[in-house]
Amino acid sequence: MTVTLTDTGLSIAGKEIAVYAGAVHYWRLERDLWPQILDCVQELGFNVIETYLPWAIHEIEPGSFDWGTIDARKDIDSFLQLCEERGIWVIVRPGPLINAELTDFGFPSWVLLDPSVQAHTAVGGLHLDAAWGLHPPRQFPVPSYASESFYTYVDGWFAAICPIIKRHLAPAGCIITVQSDNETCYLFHERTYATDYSEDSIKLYRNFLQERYASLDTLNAAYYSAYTSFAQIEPPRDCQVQQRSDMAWHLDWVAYKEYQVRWCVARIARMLRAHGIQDVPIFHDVAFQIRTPLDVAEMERDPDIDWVGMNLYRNKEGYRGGLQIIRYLAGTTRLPFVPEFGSGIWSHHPLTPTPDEQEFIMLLALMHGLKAFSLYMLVERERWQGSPITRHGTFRPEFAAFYRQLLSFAEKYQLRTLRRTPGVLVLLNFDIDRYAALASTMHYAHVDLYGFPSELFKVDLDLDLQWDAARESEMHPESWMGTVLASLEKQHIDYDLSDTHVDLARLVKYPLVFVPTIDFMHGEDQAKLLAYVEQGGQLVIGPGLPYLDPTLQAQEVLKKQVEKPGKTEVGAGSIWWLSTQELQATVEALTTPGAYRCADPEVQLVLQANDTHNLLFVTNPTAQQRDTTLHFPTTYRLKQAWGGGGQSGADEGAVSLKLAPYSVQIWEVLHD
Amino acid sequence: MINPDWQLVDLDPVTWRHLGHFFAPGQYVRSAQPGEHGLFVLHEQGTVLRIVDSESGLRRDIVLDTITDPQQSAQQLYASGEWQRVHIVDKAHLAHVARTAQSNPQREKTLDQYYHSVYQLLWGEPAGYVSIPPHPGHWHGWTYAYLQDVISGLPVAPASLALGVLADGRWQIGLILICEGGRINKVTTFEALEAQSVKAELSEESLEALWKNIAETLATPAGLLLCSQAVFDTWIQQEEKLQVLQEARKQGEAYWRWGV
Repeated sequence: MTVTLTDTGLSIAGKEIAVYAGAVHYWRLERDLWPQILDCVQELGFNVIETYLPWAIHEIEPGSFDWGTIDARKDIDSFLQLCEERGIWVIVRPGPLINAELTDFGFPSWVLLDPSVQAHTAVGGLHLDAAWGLHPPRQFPVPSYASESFYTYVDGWFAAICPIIKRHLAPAGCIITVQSDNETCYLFHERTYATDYSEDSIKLYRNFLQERYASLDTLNAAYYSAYTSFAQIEPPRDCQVQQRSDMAWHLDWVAYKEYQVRWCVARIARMLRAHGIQDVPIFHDVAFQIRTPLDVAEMERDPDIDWVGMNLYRNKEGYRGGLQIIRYLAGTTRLPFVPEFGSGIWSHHPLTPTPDEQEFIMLLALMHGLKAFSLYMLVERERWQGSPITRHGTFRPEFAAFYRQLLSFAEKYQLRTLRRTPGVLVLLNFDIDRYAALASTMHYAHVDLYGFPSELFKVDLDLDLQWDAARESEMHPESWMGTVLASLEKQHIDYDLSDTHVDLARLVKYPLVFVPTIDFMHGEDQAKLLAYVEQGGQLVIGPGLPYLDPTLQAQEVLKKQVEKPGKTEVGAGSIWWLSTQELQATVEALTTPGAYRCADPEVQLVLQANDTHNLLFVTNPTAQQRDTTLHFPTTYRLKQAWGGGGQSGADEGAVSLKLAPYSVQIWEVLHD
Repeated sequence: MINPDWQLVDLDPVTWRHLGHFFAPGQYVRSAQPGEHGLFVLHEQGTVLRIVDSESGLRRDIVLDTITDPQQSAQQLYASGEWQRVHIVDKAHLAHVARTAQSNPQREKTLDQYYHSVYQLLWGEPAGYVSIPPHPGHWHGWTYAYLQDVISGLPVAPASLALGVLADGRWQIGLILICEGGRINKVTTFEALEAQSVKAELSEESLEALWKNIAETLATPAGLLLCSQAVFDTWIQQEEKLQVLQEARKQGEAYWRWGV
């Protein structure tokens, strides 16, 4: 491949670049202003841009395309040529789904209105978009990603657009990577029993079951059923679990929903390859989900998908969710990438981020391991607000100043090569999350509008389990997982997040791994954790010890090694089986605080280093100013690199910090 | 009312930050209010499935296995004084709302018409969702029919409607709508106007200057309201809209012009 993924960016014909990009939608900008707008882009320091290639904008009637002859703004060939003349690299996203705040999300209306394309809900209706918030500005029937007719239409679009992409592929051209579909996940209706119950989807579900079980006898044994054909099997349309024997049927539907997402992203990637998109990586962007029906680790294992990123839009108050995404990307993916990093926001968003918020969220993400990003949007356009560059080719100075400074800072300190060295990985338990997805109800259109408490959507299952799966599925402070995270943060311990589907090869990079466990866990995941311990890992589990598989059949892999709570040595490592109450003390005993310490537990510290620089990131993620003191070895001096101009004296070993609410400071660590 | 191809351009981020909370459609549909202490009883055609308190969570202590008269049950629970609102919701009704709303692609409806149809389906079946106190049938005095009448009854086409809300010496909101044929075709902000005439002050002169600027730059004005942030907040919340503005005008905190 001419363009390849590295640990820090992309390598183009052997030359490595940072993926610091921003979105520019050529078809929404006056053709005459393209040069002026790209001047602004480069003046801020960006050498990579990203654009959707919108299907419905170009295919104006079935089989009839406008590449600029009717509307000059649609001349994608010229736009790419202009980028090439200026030495700007381009990431393209040809869909088929793009959203982009377009009417009908960029799908041609004749595709959406073809009944053989449409997705169906569990209650028998179509699945209309606009059922989640105020998606502008018209409801439309969502396509089923299992529909064969849909792929026939998509193939027609790819046959038209891919030759243009191919002409501009790097290194001779400007295109360095291509996205397969966009935020694929049932168009924000991913809840278990919401959709997709269309004919083609049910057919795909049955194929999935056939692949999974190979024979009906095996399936019948798991389901306690007497089917004589796979065609007889209907999916569950609500949670109907009454007893343990109902679990396999429901869990398979949960797993099918994960499978459909992976299957269609991979299929679309193969279609792009078949249309000539070779030699550059194909990636996918997850909207925000780190749980079922998204299985990021499994998606990255798919040979057709080179790279998976996750989008991030956050106001400062929601930083914790954004931080989870970054830690998850750092702990799970090949190159932690946010293909849409909120820069400005869509016009129907409830709270436009301020410039200060944009700075805080971006620096926080870089602090915790973000390696590649594309600002969405770098250049403003219709139905968007708050970007650094306007659609008229001028700056919004209050938003532009930060990005100009950031790109300059990134160059000076070679930001992409800076590395954290977290020694701790915390795994979400995929099986607990599947259980929570299964034990839920009322996945109907519009229920999000009614203001119901989340507890109303849960279903209590009486399955005679020892530990509370519902409780452990959430990260609330009283859960085992919540206690682990709070204890790590109190100790200022830097950590990554992933889930139990992560590869063993990644697990062994971390000396210490925490996993919430209850009665059940898939045998393969238990075996992987055991292999990690045997190779020298320290594994902390709890509150329960798995003795069942997720269908609640006996499965004793870890239990064969662990007889009682506490520490058990296995191979070269240890398993610690701990209750929630024992966690905090054990976290303190098993982790070593870094050389940089701060008395204020709310303040977060992360050290990153490359061959020439050591940078200490210091964050105040609260709404109050924090006045505190940072202590460090006296052999070092600190010089402020971002957020002011302070520095410590020689041999002082301490510096006073005044941290504004929701702010990040970066200090360069120097030694004589 | 909302043109499916409407244009939203040159959106001043300050204006949009102050308008954002109006874009959540749930507030125009639901009876549950933010911060309100509510009790939610979910049943399926009479069989109680779950009882949830918005503050304390699952309420297993409330003994209620069946609902025969949802109105009466809601009244009884509300009479205990423990909750500010009691909701008795039939799960089958919610499924019916979803199925009916999405029975076909609904392409003839604008987005607001579509949401209004969901609202009517939700509250149109008296026993399906009982709320005590009940949904008031309007949002702070604003009704869908009134807004439709305003947009479709403008005296010229295209016509503009504009709002300026002043606080701390600057326009916190500077909003302009361009309407034609009962539809909002374009939405923009004072950023789209000639900057020198967008003086941030509440006065007759400012009103006239903006009126003229909008006419020259965008479309014939049909209405323009300038007011302070405090007046705006009161105007939105109180049901006697005109009275709020008339009082404010006496204090020099609101100026408006209506009609071509």
